[in-house]
Amino acid sequence: MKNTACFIIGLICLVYLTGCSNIESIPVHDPVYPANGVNVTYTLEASSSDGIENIKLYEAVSSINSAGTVTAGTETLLNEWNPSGSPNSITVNWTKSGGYLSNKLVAYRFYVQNGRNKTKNYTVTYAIRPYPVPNQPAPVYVQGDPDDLFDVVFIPDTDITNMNTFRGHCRSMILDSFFEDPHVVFWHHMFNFYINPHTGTATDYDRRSIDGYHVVPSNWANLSFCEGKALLHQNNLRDYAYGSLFSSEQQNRGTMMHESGHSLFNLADEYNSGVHWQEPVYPNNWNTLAGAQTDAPNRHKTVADVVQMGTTGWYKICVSGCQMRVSGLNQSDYDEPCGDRVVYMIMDNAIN
Amino acid sequence: MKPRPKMIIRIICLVSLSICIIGCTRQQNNRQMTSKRDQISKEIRPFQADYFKDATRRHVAVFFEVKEGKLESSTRPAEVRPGNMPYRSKVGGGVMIRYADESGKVLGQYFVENPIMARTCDFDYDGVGDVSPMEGAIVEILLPFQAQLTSLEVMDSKEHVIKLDMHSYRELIRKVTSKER
Repeated sequence: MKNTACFIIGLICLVYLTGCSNIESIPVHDPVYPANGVNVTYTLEASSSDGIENIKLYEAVSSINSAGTVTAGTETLLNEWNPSGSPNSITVNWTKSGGYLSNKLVAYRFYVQNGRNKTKNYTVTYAIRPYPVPNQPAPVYVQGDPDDLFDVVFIPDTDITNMNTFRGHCRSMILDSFFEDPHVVFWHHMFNFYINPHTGTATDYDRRSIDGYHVVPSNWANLSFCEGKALLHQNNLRDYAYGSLFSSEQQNRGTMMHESGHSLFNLADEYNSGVHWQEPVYPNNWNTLAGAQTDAPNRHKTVADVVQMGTTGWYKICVSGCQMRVSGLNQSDYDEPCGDRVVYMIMDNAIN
Repeated sequence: MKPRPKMIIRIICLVSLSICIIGCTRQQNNRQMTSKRDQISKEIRPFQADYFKDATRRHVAVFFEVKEGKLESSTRPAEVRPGNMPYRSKVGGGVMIRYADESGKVLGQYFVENPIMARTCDFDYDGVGDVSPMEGAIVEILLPFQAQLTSLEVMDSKEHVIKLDMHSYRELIRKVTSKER
């Protein structure tokens, strides 16, 4: 009798587990900020436990003038895929040979349908270089209204000698930093990215008294709407941040995510000698041992995970490899407690 | 010892059941999160490139000088900026920026990292960070463009409240609104 009950419950669970009908996809384009006439390749990685049945790629090419006035284009179908055997995951590519003319904004949309006829649409807009609106950051991967999403602008430093390399790093910051973290990539459609037309100059933290603080670009006022401003440079510096501006070597994906943890998600540092505070909602730092121990079981951790950061009197529960503990070249995931806050902030931004 | 097939089957069933329960719980959480995401995604407005041309979407930057670790008035005039204010959490730790009208009615508040501090988290340098006040620097505080906004307070985590001079903000609002009339 007991065995039969177990079998039935197991069967129910199995049916429940297989009843999920999500579609997860990431649309990308390459190059991220193409010059006029350059081939652009669109790629979609799509997955669904119910199999991918159909994918369509559309584009709408709008014109934009130097005043920022937009003349909307009509959406047209570029390509369609009907994968044989409805695979659970698939990557499709399509190249727009010859690219686009100057003064254009391209919006591409991937339509995805799975085996249960559930559909999803992903629209990304980007500008063709050069962007004609003076002093305005060029949208290179935008997905929604700036008031609803997190906006991040990449500012080239005056020391950048190869802008193609810089733009490649910007693309990598989007795909290999932001979209590499499991919490962020789940909400990848909640981020807009821009490249600034004007340069800034990063200074070294240890030379502030000699070189002064970071020199912001001349169009700084036009970047004010952005939650995150990344000043990316080539030379090796001791990087630092203030307000929503932070500097980083252009290839340092770990620094990008650590600093975004501060400026976008209000995450505190998880190392001795950092900046500590306790958020009232989903904190990643606690000012008492008891507080951390009380919260740990509700935050994917146990009491045993609570550690003090040095002798600061501040406590954390994330693993030592959490992105708020480390920075530098390599991206490292936010551990679950930090991930809670990332998700909370993304939703709070969208709702408020 | 004799094998006890019934016992083995029961153990297998219990293990399977446990796995199923854990799996179902995770699946349920994933479903809830996916459902939330889908709901929020529907409410996201599409990107409009002329967003920055919309004169009704604007905010103001007010400037202060860091002197002896405190915010002091700056001679740099406040400026109107395109687009709405960047998102800042309305509840939080860190430093609270709170603004009010003439009667003292709070119009809004948000939390930021201490605006007078520079911090480094660059681990290439001995694996240590550092925090220090930006002595002599001009820092900005962002505020919504609101005619009725007349006062600004900054409160740190120890609840020290500093009232800041808003002459520059009021002057800017007066100029802009009189032009628009």
